[in-house]
Amino acid sequence: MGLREFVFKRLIDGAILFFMTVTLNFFLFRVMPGDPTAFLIENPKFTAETRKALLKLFGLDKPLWEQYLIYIKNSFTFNFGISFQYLAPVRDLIFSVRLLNTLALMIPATLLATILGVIVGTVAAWRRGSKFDSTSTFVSLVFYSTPVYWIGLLVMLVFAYYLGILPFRGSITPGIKYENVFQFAADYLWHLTGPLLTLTLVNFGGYLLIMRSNLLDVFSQDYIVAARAKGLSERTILFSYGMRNAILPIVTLTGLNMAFSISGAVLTETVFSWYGMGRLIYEAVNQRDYPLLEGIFFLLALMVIIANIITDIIYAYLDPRIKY
Amino acid sequence: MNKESVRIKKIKLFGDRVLEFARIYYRNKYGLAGLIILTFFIFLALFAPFIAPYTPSDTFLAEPFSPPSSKFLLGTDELGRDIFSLLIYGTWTSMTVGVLASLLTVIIGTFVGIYAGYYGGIVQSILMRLTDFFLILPALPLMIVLAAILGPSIWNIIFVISIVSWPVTARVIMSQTLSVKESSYVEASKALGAGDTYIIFRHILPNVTPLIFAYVILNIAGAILAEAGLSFLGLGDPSHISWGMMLYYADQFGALVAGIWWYILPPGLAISLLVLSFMMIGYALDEIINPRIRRR
Amino acid sequence: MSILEVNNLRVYYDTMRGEVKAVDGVSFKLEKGEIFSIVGESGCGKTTTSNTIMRILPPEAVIKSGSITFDGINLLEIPEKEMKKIRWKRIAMVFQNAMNALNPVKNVGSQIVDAITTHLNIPEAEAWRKVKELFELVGLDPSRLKDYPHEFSGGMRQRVFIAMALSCDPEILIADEPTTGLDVIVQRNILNLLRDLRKKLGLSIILITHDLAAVAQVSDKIAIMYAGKIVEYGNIYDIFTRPRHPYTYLLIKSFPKIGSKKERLVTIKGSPPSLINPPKGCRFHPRCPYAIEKCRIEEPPLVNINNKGLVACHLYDQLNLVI
Repeated sequence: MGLREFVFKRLIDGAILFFMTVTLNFFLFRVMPGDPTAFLIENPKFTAETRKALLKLFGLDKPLWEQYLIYIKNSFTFNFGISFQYLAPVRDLIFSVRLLNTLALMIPATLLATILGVIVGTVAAWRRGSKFDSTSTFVSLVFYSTPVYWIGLLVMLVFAYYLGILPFRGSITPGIKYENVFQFAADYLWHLTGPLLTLTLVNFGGYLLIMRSNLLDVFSQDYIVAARAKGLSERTILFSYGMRNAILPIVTLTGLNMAFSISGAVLTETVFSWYGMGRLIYEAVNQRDYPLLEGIFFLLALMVIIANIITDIIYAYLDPRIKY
Repeated sequence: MNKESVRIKKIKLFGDRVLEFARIYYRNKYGLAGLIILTFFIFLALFAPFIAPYTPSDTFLAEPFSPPSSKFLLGTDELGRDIFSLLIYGTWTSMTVGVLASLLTVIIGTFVGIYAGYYGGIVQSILMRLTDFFLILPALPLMIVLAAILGPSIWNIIFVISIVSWPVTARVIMSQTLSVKESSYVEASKALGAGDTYIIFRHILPNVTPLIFAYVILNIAGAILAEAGLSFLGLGDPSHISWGMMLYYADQFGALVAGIWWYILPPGLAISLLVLSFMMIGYALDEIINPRIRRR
Repeated sequence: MSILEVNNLRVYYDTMRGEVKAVDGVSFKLEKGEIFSIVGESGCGKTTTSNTIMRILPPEAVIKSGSITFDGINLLEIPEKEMKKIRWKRIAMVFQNAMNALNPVKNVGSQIVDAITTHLNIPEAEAWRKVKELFELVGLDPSRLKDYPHEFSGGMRQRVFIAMALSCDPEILIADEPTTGLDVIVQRNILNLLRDLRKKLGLSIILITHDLAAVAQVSDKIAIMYAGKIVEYGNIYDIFTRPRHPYTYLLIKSFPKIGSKKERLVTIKGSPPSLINPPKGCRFHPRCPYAIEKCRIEEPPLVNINNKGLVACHLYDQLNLVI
């Protein structure tokens, strides 16, 4: 089987996961105890016409299986109804600058955490048992154990309250008029620093520990002993024989870790009032804005599924052993 | 040899193994430190009413946000409650939710894992798909959705955490079950006409028990973090004070902008330490169970 | 003159459970151009012996005593820098399982080139040419130079590894279980290849195996190891026709011989002893059907029998072990 077929197979898997997500969502908001109309329609702010239109949109007067089919159809177009709180279509709320803001936070944080984790993890494994190794392992355990929002609070306490070099909250300075795009970028990056630092710190420990244990695993393999016996330089052994093998699982892990990253991002955005999906989910929860909650969850799940497919394909491309 | 002496010998053998385990564990820095911190927190949780100077319902409304003093060791919150006392009472919530959620998680995971691994076939493929699906889903958003639908109560939180966290355990237990199932003694046992129940209880379960034990410990760490996270997002049970909830209130009532560090630092530090203690114990157990990385 | 001489080698592993006496007083000589086999069950210290010669022991291993003399140099005393000039350049090694010993994410040709460019001062293009020659030498298709290890069959992977071992024209080749896990015909082909290479290149070979039958056809001399010690040592003919040690005898009896009809195969009862607390006296006595009281108490010395070999058994001149 070639790479093309492998990609095709992964896309099929993705489609199955997509339908599973749709089904789960349907169960959560239709079948769970409670009246679905209360979850989706009964908002005192809605007019009678809106309610009627929504009832028709979801087919809530029809039998459950028909509702399910309608739900699948609606999911394809992200038609999750009207937000209770914003009185606007959920679709418009989630496909907005908020999504871009979340990506602007998550992607650099994931990349930074991976790179840092791989580098420090490699050094730790290479100097196994040294002071550097034990310190970095301990520090990653500490970061792994520390709630991300608390780190966010500490970052703000130190850098915003005491030092005053970073802003408290938000993604841009409110009410400011930008003269050019650079000014905007500078303001944006200034606001991004805190959340980015926080999210990177929290994710980095995991990558470090995994890279370290992968590398230790690889070091115990015969081909490393063989490479030593061949008299190769330590450099060649580490890079060409050790890391090349140890780094491959990290690719898959980055995909799998997306779910973890998103959890971290939700909390980070909440703490920093970063104008993104995470902050939106927090608002939706506190306002019991179920249609919005439904839409966000669906989108986040979809993002994770797509990220996993992409990393799987990258992995298959990188690893000569893969039997598609 | 008579029955009695066989039993004594068995007990002795078991005792030797426990002793050896304790000996190896004792040499592990992480394991020892984790155990000490954990013991400290268990002590706090059990004897909270005797240690804490006030209760969570003692409000000194005239003294909100007062800084640490001899009267209030760690100051007061927005309602004038003693933060030190809240912290001690919060230990119980974190501990209970963590332990119960982890137990439930591992029970679900073990059940699914053994069932899928042992029976194989279509059951296995369906359960595998389901496991992978839950593994891939963003955990916190799913917990948020479930908690928001079910409403705030400590039991709902335990349920929500377990229903989202079981796949990791299921995965591990399933692969272990598969390898035990294919071992020659299970094959032999089957050939001798042993039933499924017998094989599961006699061969499979004893083999996955160490894993179950390790995963209960590791899952507690995750469950405590999850409870704190949900509480921080305002989804906690208001009738049980917890550390995450304290941070939620601190954030809501502007402790940060006012620089009220004594409200922000202690709860986070407590979560961190308790989770760290479980992580360190888990790390140590992993080193013992996993001979590959055992220190020479 | 012997090319390699191992003298009273003791290598212990320091583990959490205690000291594992993996190699406990091993001596032998490898003559130039000879194929010398070390035979024993897994865990008897064969691989530790070969890894000590290469000086690629894991850090928990401690060399307690002994010397390994190669070309007048004691390999255990020279600094790592000097050892690097000998390892692979003059003494090379074929690993137990070529699948695990080849880097899975690098094509086989470049792995051999890595070895060549490290030791020989030649440009990379020339190294590739050499790899091509090596492939032909070991009977591999040179067009597969850039294939990955998993694309080869077990026997071919072993050939790849042999090519890699020969890449710097070594004087000694150590082959650690080169045929384990291969089917019988492939095993024979690999062993024949080693024999041919010895002739063609004038190699001296140390063959390490648990399979006495397999090496019988290619070896000149054999050492039988049990629980970290050599129990019998001699040339192949003598050992096969007149074993002196019960362990050797049982080993020979435990594999079927072609041509002999319906002979009952013997199995050796029990399992190899713990090397942390080896049995007192003769280490084989708990499993030995001929053991007497003396075997339990006193360790038998390795004695010379009429210059026909060495044996470590109290009963060597009393037992009549007939094949």
